[in-house]
Amino acid sequence: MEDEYKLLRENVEEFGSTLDEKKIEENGIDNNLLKKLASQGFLAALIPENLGGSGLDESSYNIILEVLSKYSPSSAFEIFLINSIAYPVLSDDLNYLNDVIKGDDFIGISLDKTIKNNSLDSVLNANGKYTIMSSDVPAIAENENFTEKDFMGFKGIRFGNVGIKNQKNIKSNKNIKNSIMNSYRSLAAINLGIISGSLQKALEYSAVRQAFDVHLKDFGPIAFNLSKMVARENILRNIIYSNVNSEYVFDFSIENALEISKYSLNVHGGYGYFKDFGVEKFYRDAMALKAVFYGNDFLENLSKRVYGERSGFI
Amino acid sequence: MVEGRDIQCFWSVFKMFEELDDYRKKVRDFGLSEFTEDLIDRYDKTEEYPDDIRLKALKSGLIDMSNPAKILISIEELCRIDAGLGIAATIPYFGGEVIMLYGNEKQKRILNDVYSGKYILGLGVTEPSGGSDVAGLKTTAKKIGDKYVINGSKMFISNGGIADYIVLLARTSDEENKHHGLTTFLINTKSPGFEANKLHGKLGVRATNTAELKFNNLEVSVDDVIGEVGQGFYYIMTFFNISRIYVAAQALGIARGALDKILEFVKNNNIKDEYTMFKVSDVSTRIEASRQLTYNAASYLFKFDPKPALTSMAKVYAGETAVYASELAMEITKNDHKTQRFFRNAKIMEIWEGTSEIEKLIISRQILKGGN
Ligand SMILES: Cc1cc2nc3c(=O)[nH]c(=O)nc-3n(C[C@H](O)[C@H](O)[C@H](O)COP(=O)(O)OP(=O)(O)OC[C@H]3O[C@@H](n4cnc5c(N)ncnc54)[C@H](O)[C@@H]3O)c2cc1C
Repeated sequence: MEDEYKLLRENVEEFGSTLDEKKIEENGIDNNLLKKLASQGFLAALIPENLGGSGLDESSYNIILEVLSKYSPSSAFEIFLINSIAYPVLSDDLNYLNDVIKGDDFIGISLDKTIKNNSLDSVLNANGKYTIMSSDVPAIAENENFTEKDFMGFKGIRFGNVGIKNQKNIKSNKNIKNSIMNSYRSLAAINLGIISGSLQKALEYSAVRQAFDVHLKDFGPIAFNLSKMVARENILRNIIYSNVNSEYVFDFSIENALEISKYSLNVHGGYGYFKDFGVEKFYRDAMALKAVFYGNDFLENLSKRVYGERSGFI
Repeated sequence: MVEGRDIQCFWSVFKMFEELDDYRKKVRDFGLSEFTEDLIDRYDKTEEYPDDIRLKALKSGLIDMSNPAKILISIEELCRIDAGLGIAATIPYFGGEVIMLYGNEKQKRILNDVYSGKYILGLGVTEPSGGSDVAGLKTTAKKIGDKYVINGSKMFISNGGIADYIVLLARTSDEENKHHGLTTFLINTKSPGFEANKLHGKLGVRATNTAELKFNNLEVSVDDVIGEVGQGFYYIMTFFNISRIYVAAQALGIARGALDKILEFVKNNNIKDEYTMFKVSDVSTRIEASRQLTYNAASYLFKFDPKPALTSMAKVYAGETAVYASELAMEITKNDHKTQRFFRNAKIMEIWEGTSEIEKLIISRQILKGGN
């Protein structure tokens, strides 16, 4: 199995390095890229083979997310939305995903329960044909139109306000919230990709850029900080692919992704503040991921895991 | 412990800021009515420079360069609403203090025209090969007869594409001590040999104009030298002791704006849990500490005796607080659209006019020297 994982990692690396991330950030994930992700089997990674998917195990799936995030966090996040959110909710009604896993359509994921004037305010993949609603009872609706809004992170994903019609409940034992709760390890894998991608840039830059006639890597604070971060990157990789509890893994990944991507930007000085250097996006993505998926809901889950009962709600 | 602390001066400056409460309100009212959500969004998206905002702020009396306390308040309050527009409104005078302190009569007349809104100024120090190591810069100014011929380039220059004049730091001699061979010039951007290329794609403060400047045999007269030849490095360091307090005020404004977003969200959503309350306390405490550090550093500046360590402490701490507050605001408001701008704007506070690392070097060196 280890050899298979190694081979998969190499293949995803090869694929990831061909992605034009600047274009993805600028214009969003287009049908062409979606088709490419589909043909690699990534869009249906977790869907069983007999249902037309790739039938991968969780570790293989997380390897795809991790390695792709290094190159294109948006592409990894798109794969995550389909496999970790849409598929569990729609597993009894896979018709909605037929076009999606072929790379012909997107599937909207609503982040907000509120429906105002037949529209949903915060939808990821707002350009899809359908949107899975954020309601407690799983439901789906047809998209009529959408107005784009800025999500700040994962720029390749279209985000916005979606006008909906023909809303209907679906038979499923999972809603968006439960799906997220089951996906912490995969979110940690995306964070790990963000960490690796930004760290790699900082390590490379600090080895060639000079200030005061020496390489940045020769300054203690830079070398020590980056090295400590590489240590944490390795620890995170080990615990993601181990049986350490997924909430612990996610918690460890969250602060590290934000801190490491921020520091990597910093090492680039003024250049880090510009899109062209491809490092600021990791900081935005880490923040967006934390803002959406980490908060009191998650921390209550974590505490429940530790205490074995509800805690931390006051 | 920083030596030579003047408590009397510290308190009198705090009192001075308190007495300017009406002025503070005036600035805030201006910002709230002029910085509409639409406008903030438009300039953030287009990365154009809002010249009408510059002129309105000036006409409304928010840019009184003769009163640094008022300037700090304007910067803080405008950045509290939006740092993109806030900095765009307060940065057209950037570098002016170098002329004010060391310039000749002709240069001071130009500075008056900057302060009256006729011209826009910029400061060119950073180069593509480095910004932290100021003395390592490579742009040369060679004296030929009664002229200097300038060649080289500058990077990330605020107002670079819109400025009428640039205060430029260039190398005039290859002295062994690199710090001694630098001179400041006042450059007219209409001069032949000057080129500005606007830089796009900043993470934040996108309403400000940033450009790469190129100098190709640009000629200036000896009268365009600011102050004494060979003293440029020291002039710029003195300038940074002033301007870093302005950056601390920008950061303080961003942090307060982020806290505004947190409080609005907490109240609107009736959030009462202790975890969030502790975060609110924490960020409020850091903001208060940033304010005290900033006003403390300002108190020495107002006595014409800026203290580099105190100034750097204010800039580092307020910068870190802006980043901390905006990250927290993102977490609490769950990626709210308006909060995102605070997050994107905040990070520049730890980079420009001396990265946090450079500020830390200044602080430790000063403290080890036994004072300021
Ligand atoms: C939007 C924007 C506007 C700007 N406006 C202006 C302007 O108007 N005028 C102007 O002159 N400049 C301007 N700058 C430039 C800014 O001041 C520089 O980017 C900054 O000083 C850092 O220089 P650098 O980018 O060359 O980074 P470098 O000097 O290359 O530094 C890279 C990294 O190494 C670290 N480092 C360097 N030396 C050490 C050391 N000894 N120990 C530990 N770490 C170290 C730095 O902290 C940084 O993290 C602007 C920059 C931006 C992004």
